[in-house]
Amino acid sequence: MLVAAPMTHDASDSVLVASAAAGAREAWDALVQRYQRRVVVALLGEGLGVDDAREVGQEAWARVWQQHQNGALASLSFPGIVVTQARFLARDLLRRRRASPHDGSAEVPEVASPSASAEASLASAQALGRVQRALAAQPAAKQQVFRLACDEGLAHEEIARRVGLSTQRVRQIVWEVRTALRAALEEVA
Amino acid sequence: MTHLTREVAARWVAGVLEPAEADAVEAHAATCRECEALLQAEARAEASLAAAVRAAPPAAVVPLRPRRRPYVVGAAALAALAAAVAFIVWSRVPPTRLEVATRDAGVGGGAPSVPRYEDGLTMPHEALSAFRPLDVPEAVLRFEGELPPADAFTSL
Repeated sequence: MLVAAPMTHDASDSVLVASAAAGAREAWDALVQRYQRRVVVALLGEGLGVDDAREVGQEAWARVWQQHQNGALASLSFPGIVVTQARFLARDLLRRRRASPHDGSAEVPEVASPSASAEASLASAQALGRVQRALAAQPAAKQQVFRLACDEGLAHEEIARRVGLSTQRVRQIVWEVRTALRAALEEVA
Repeated sequence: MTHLTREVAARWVAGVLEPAEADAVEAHAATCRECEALLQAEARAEASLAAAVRAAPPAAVVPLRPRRRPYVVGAAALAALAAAVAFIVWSRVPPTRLEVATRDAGVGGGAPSVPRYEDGLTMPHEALSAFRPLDVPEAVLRFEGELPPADAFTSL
């Protein structure tokens, strides 16, 4: 008789993804727990409130799981695939609310115009340059850790596992670099 | 819960709060429009940072030093200490009687050498005497000196 190994929340992403891809719901739940906050943060950035962000986030996870079960997904990469799905759902929700503004939502944030003014573009370019210079001033190892957190969106435990540092140290590096970059970003504003 | 500070909001967005604290922040922001707006602002800033980082050229790849397990470090330190102590003890041990005798007799061209079995055939008396066990009591040595010659009994 085949007995499945107990799935712990300490397992690496690759182990959890492989188990989830094989249909293990427990592994899927562990991934949800690991990355749900990232999804909520991404949705807040889109203009959703906390409750909406939680709800849309849950729906995004459910849809990705369903698509995977139907064989519609070639591969699973977290959290990117769920964040993409959640953003799509959030924009759809906001579009529907704008179309019918009397459905109970108090404020509907405007979607950023793709054609920004020249002044705004210049400010964006300056901000980009400052942030990139601040990042380049950081030690290469810290840049690597920060990219894994900020760009790839990996959980701190997963980053710690990959680079051989403690989770606490990873958190510390992420916070230090983020603080430096935010300071650079605010110099422009 | 009081209103969130900007730093707490930034820490929540960056994911550097403890899970219980992060849950409390989220629960509060769900009921407080002002703090929710603060989290949204921090989340937008996070997205801007992510975009800037994504557009930045990657740093030169440097291998991060893997975390060494404490017991490996301890074992390595103990081994190094033991080797150092062994070397010091070895270097301070006085030469054996054999080494002194062979050196004084000029055997081996001045360099200390390990005597071989066939060396004993041509080894000077001083060097041969060094093979005597060190713990032979003096009384026994005196007794050996008083023994009659080997052919004394054959002549009887």
